[in-house]
Amino acid sequence: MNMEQHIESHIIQSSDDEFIINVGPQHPSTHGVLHLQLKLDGEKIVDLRPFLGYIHRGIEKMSESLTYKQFIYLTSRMDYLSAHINNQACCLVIEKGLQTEVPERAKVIRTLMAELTRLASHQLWWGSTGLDMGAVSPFFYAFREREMILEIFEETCGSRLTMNYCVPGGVMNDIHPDFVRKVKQLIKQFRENIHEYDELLTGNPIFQSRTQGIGYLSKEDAIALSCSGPVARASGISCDVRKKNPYDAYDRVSFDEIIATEGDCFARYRVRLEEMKQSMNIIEQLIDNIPTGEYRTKIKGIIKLPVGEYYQRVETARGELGVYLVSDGSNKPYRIKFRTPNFSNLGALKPMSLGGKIGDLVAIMASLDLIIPDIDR
Amino acid sequence: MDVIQKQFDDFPGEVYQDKSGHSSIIITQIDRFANWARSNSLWPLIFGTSCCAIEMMSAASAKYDWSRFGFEVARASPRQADLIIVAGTITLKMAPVLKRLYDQMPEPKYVIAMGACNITGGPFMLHSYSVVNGIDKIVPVDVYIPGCPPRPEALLHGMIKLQEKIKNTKAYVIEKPKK
Amino acid sequence: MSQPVEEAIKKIFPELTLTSWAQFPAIEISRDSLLSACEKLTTHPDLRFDMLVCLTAVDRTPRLEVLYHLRSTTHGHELIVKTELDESQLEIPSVVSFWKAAELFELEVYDMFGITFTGHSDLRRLFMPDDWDGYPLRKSYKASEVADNYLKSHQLLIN
Repeated sequence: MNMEQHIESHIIQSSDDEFIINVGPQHPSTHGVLHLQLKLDGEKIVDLRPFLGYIHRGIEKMSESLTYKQFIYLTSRMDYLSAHINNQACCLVIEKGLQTEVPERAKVIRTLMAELTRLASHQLWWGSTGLDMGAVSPFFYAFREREMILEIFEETCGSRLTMNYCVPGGVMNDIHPDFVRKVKQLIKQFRENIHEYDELLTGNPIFQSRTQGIGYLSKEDAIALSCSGPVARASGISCDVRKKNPYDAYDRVSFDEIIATEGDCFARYRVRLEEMKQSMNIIEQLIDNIPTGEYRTKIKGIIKLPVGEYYQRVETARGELGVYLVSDGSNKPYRIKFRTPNFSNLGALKPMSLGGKIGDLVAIMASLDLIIPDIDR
Repeated sequence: MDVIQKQFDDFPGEVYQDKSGHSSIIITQIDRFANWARSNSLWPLIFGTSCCAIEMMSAASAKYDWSRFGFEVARASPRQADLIIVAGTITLKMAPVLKRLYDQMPEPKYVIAMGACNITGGPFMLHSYSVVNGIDKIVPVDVYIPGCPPRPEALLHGMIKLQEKIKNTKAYVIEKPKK
Repeated sequence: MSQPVEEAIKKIFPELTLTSWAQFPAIEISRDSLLSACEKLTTHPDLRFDMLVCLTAVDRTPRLEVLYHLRSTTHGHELIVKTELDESQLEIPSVVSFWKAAELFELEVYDMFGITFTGHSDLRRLFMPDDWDGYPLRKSYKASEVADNYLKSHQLLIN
């Protein structure tokens, strides 16, 4: 069955005045390969169906044929903008199963890299939000600071985007000697420049009229669809995993959880901007007193988890990621399930966009911040 | 000098020769001019599926600017583009979409395979049931760029190699060996 | 925080035994009493499980286990509900009427394991192409040369 037959077999019942268009899979503003089928009445959206699977690579099945140390590199490719946090989740699950202690220095280094990753991800989100709405300049401003963060990653971990820096037991190598100086310089420059972010987009009347009041998600809907991350926090739900179940060094830093109640696109935008400032606060609290000591505990070459089930959840830049691991005692996992935040946030697209126009659909997708390989795995 | 137009069965393009059987100097200069114009203004199609698309966006931004080489205007429709940079894994469900996009582009068109996933399947080559192991099974590829993901400078290096390849093609003439 | 939920479960479901799955309490429910149990889990004032965090399946041939991970945003406690299905009869009622998030989760389990959910409005293949044979996440499925055969049968290969 080729492409036309595949699409025609899924056509929803249409009357004379309505017509059906496809958005994607190749589209300049769908943030990846998402295929939406819209039923339109004039310019109003009457129905919406997502079609997935264009980037389904079978990561869960592949992990059943790889050992415990080998499958961690695949998770960097799931949500590639918070790659370090995905690796951190897998390492925490394995350490929970083996019941090993991670040294304090490794915990603080992991937390610092996670907050830098969150900052870089939100900067790219901000740039592409402007680009989707038609404003091209914010894209270049966002990449200016993001390149500084990626340079720090490259010196310490060796790679810019998919760094496999977390290993079970700690981190792979000690931090670069210039790390502390460069991070402090980055924070200083970003604090001086963040007023430009507000001047370019937040106070712009065109941007405000395109996002205020658009895409309302009520609190009950957000709970029923199990949304998490900034999408849920902008509708009034308190769900930050770093506060509820702290892991690594999050129990010794103090930061605010940003909650808004309006539930529209502008509220999600403001929540993410404030989260960038909170990330900088966390980095400033940790950067001056990194404890000395070992950066990794020694673990045997072949890892075998005892028979049973294990679970760990972390807060990525987009929401709550849960790793469920079922082990049968051998050196390969029996079943791994990744409960990714974007999979549930996609369910919120339909109730938010029915009754609106196509231009509003683009604004809603920009505020949801979906990464499609995270949905398809 | 008289230049006549000839037809050859195995070559679908136009051939201009003079009576001695050589191509004249005017035609080779047209060749050089056409290749120079074509290679310095390639318009890429926006096609990014996964992680390599982020490094492609970095190559488009201000630090590793790709518009210095003429790639500034990135089009959203394949009818207006002449280069497709395939960035990101291609799966079985996406393969007919890629082939359709490639068929919609007008000649002359070029393909760059960016990243390890598009050369041989990359990290997903073994054990995966839904990844195409290399896009040269579906479309003809001109330049391969290894890396996972390749740095923006590597992408620029690949694009410059494509420009050199275009400059060395003969667009309007062929040379038949003298008998 | 989990002591009250274990006592409440013992009071409301006196016929079930309480086990544990990872660090959460777990109960096992048969397929026929699944809908009435979900009714009690969502409406009883001591439980109020209003968020379905995850719905997944594990292949332990010859049985398949379906797992529901539930959470309550008002009380803060969590629970795992397990249902076992035999390989010859892979049908289970759908819980879309209780939690809207189940719509996408059940499509994924149908695509990967072949378990049909009765009462789901739009059961279709989610990730794999529509004419795909087999259910990839079962233990009996081997992922070898299927890609080249698919490309050849759909006339996508060149030379």
